[in-house]
Amino acid sequence: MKSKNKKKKKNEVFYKVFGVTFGAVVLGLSVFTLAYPDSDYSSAEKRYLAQIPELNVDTLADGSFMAGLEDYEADQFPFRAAVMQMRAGLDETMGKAISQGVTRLDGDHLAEVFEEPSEQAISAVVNAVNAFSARYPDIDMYMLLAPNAISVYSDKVAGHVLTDDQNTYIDGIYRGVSGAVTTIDIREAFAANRGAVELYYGTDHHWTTDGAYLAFTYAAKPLGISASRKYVSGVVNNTFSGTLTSSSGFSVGKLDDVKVYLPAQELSYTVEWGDGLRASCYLTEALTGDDPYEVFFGGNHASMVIKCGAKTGRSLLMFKDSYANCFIPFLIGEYDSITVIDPRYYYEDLDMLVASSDFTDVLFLYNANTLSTDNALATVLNNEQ
Amino acid sequence: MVFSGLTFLFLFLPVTLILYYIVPFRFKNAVLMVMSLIFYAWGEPIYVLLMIYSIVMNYAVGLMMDRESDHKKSILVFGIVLNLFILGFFKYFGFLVDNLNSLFGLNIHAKKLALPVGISFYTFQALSYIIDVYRGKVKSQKNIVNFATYITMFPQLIAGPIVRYGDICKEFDKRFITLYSFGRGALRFVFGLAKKVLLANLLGEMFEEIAAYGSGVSTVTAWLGAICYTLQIYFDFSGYSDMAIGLGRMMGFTICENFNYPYVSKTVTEFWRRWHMSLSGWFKEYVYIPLGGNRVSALKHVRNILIVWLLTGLWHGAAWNFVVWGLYYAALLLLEKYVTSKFKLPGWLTYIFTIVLVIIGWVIFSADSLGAAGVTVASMFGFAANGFVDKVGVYYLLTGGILIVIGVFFSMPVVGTIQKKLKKSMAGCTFLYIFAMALFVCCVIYLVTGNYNPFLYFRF
Amino acid sequence: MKKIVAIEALLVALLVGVMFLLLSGANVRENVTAEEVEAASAQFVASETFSAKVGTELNAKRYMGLNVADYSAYVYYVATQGMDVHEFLWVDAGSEEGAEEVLAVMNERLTSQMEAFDEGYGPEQMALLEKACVFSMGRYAIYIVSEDSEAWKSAITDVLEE
Repeated sequence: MKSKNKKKKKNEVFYKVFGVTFGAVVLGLSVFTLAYPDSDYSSAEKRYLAQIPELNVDTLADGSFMAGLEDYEADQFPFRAAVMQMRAGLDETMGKAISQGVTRLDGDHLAEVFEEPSEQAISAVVNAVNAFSARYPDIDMYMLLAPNAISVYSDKVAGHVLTDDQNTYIDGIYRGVSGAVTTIDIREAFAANRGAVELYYGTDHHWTTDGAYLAFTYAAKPLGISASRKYVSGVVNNTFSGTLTSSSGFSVGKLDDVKVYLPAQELSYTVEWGDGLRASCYLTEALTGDDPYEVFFGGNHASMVIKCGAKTGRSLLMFKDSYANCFIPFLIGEYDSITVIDPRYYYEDLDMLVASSDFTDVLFLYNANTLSTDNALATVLNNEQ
Repeated sequence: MVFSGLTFLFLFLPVTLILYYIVPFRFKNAVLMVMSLIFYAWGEPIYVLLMIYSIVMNYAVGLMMDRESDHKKSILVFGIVLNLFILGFFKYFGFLVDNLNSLFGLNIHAKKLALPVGISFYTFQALSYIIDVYRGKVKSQKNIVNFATYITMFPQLIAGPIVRYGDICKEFDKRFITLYSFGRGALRFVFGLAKKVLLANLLGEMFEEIAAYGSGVSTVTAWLGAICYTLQIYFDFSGYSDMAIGLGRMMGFTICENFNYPYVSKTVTEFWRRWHMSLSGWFKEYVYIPLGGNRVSALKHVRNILIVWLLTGLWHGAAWNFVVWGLYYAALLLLEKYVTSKFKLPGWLTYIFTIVLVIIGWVIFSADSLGAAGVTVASMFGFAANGFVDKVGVYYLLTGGILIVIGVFFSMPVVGTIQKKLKKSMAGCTFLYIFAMALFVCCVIYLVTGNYNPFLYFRF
Repeated sequence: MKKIVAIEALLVALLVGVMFLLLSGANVRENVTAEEVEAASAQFVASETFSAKVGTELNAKRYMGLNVADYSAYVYYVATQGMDVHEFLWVDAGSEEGAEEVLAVMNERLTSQMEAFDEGYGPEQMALLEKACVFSMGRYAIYIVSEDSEAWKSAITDVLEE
């Protein structure tokens, strides 16, 4: 009898202590989350955070205030960045291999998985490129479709991770456009140098400047330009944490270095995008910001024009995604002018542009992941006005 | 509003509990009623009117039966008709119209009606009240605040358990609210929250990913998907019931159990004595037994079972796969009663049959259509489009295996036994305490970072 | 007995009233014109932050991916350059099914815009896209990306409802 009473007492104490703890934690967290100041923007996630939703009859009646409040509380939770890291850690312990389309290659490197697009998507791009080339038979056209880390380092990907083969995709695209453009295949070069050169960032989906330079040296011959210019390379930022870490939440052992290659002999040129004319394609303010990769041309623009007095007689039109940003600097000096278009943001009349310029060359520079989900290039090339 | 959400945990719950504990006893029911109405209106800002109507109407019906006991029967019929009309109209109107259209080739354009959350639960609670008043089992509730509290009590309003008025009516006038009961309720709540956020939601994510492959699966993948859903619906629903019971206890109310480790059942009959007990109990009390139950001729018994299970299936949703699901169980139960019970089969064999049949039942329940369910079941038993195993199957086996094993473990009664053992010692209690708080912290982490938080029984 | 019948009648009347309240108020007009939508949108179009201009059928085909010529009426404003996501489209699709189809196209547009500006490429644009209002009412489908998207949605809803 005495032991039974003692047992109930033990449980009684246990429950009372638990009750007090639980109450304290819930109350404490409620007060803490209320008192914690709201932030505008998260540099870890690279997005604006939800603010208190508007409260009026309409938002109450359709429930958008309630949903907005829940978003607000999640976004403004104290130490959200740390909480996200804990979540990612828990997930990986439980065996999660892919988060937001990103998987792990090793302790320092992440990579985006590849999903093969539909036949329709492939032929849309191929047909648009072929038609564009047929419209301008006098302009030499080239395409460089770069593989991504998931393909070049496919052996590092865990066996069970679901990802498609980029090689069949790249082969398919190249086969389709081979009559209209000169294809530049850097895959062998990358495979040969995958150990010696850090070709891709570990935390970001872009190739490194080293990788871009390697691609350039192999592309120069087919493009008919010189690769003999001497460059001096240096690290301009060593705390780069890119899109792969911010979207997946996976952690890496070390942050990435961003390198810049400057010509040994100074080159004089002008770059124009958006609002103004600049003397350099490097935006040094970006190095201290959220995304150091934006040191290259300040990120993506609908169109840019680079002019230099090289008197080569050649003028280049480029269609690109953000991979090209650290590749373009190597082209400066090889062409009198380089016009760069990012089709995702381009709303102008392409044929009018071509008619009013005198392009001698066109280069399509994309990475396989981006091109496989892109529908802007075809739209811009087809130019239905 | 859902229990597994930041608004509930860090805004509604603290405010409600503080108000509830501060006010003197005679106002506690009113506080609970007001906060519950806010809770409901938060999720249904317009349809809260319908629930308020249901409260007023059933309260009036109860009083009328007491005052004019000569006409009790006609008043009861009136009440039942109105309740069923409300439920039928808002839940089944679209279904009825669709079927009329396809049967008779008509083209009646039915406006898409939103299903008010919890209508199946509160309507069934109201029906249990007026029927019990009619039978004289309980006295009608004179205090409309108390009655409204019974219907709207936020712990069980949205997803049950279905509380019978008789089980709880005394507690409106007298109940014990102590730190001890708060602690017990809190522990139950935390475990329920963990079941929902850490198990059900993650299993659900995996199920959705697998379901996206449609018919292009291997046998292994199909089984993984079915097992994920089987575990998800258990943890989702029983987790919610745990939270309801825990919250009730925190406020001094005793809410009945709803689940008793159903996946350890050796027969389908046993399964339904362990799954969603408050619903099967309701149908037994108010449909099956009045029809005669099993104390009638075999033919009538079969009829009774078919009726009850047709209704059980329909209660879960206005779609044919739910009806088939209900009748599926009717057939199995009848088979067990009249055929297999004659044989002496070893327990482990009947267990395997039962769990496989239950999993197949969930495939029917969760499928978009009967055809899709058929394809999945076929894939599970050797007719898969991608053979026995494929890359997708291996992927989910390796990335989701741990989660499934943990899920299976926590669905077994052994966890109850372990908990009991732990509570016997100081070290055990300390472990349990730390474990529960760690679970709560993990839940908060997942709620802040996750956007996937469905509730399967929300269509009811 | 009379009292019972009276109370029962009152309850039924109350139910009818409640149902009327719940089911009405969602009726969409059948005869909304482009001019009315333009008028309702005028203040939002004129706002300083809304940098889009009137769009043509070809613009709608290129950016929204929709052949607006197929439909009875439309009102379209689109930005003049690609880094700007301000956009407004109202379409009279002639039927609820048609509106659903248009809505699907509009949602695809929103998704691909979000993909273009995701991952830090354009946080301001993402913030605007996150509060976009894309919805259908009866036979009409509406796409709004603007700082005042909620208010604009309210204004349009007022025009479209009876």
